[in-house]
Amino acid sequence: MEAYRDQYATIFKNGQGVTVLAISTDEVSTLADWAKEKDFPVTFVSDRDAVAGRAYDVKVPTLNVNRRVVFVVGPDGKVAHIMRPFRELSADAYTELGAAVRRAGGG
Amino acid sequence: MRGPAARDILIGMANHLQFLTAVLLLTVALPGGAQDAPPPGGPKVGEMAPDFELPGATRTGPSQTPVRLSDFRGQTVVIAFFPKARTGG
Repeated sequence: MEAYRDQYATIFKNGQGVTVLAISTDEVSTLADWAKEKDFPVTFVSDRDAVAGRAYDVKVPTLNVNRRVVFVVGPDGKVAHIMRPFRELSADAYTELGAAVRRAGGG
Repeated sequence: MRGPAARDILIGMANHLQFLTAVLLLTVALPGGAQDAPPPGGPKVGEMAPDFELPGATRTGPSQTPVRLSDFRGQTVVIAFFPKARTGG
């Protein structure tokens, strides 16, 4: 999430027309504490029972944990781009994500 | 005694070879090969993103109302699944 914060202006236009929902199976209090501590500008979502994880087929089968996968959803509610897996350590991943956000109409 | 024992070993090896051959043939014959992972489910590009309504939080604290994906219609939404808080990326 540090990369999302550090590139929030360039990739996500500081949230103008773009919303980032960062989803994990952590408790909401854990996510709130982490967001405050690191000053993350995104919205966190607590998917305790991996309901969203199952709907998007990103849940690890044997663990209550979601994989690192990104979906870009357009203003019409349709999936515009999928990065499965999202390689968070690769600079190219953020370049691809920024381009997908712009194509989807949010940037 | 050496004759029957050697014959038993040879028969055992032949059976083992037959088993390995059968496994190999099944692997090749099955669609996609048995070692291939199935394609991921979930929404595809161009399909509606499944809606969800779950507790949310920002750097100012837990949200008063749940986060519902459909509330963001008209905006681009980046849904970033990740394993656990305090992991890199």
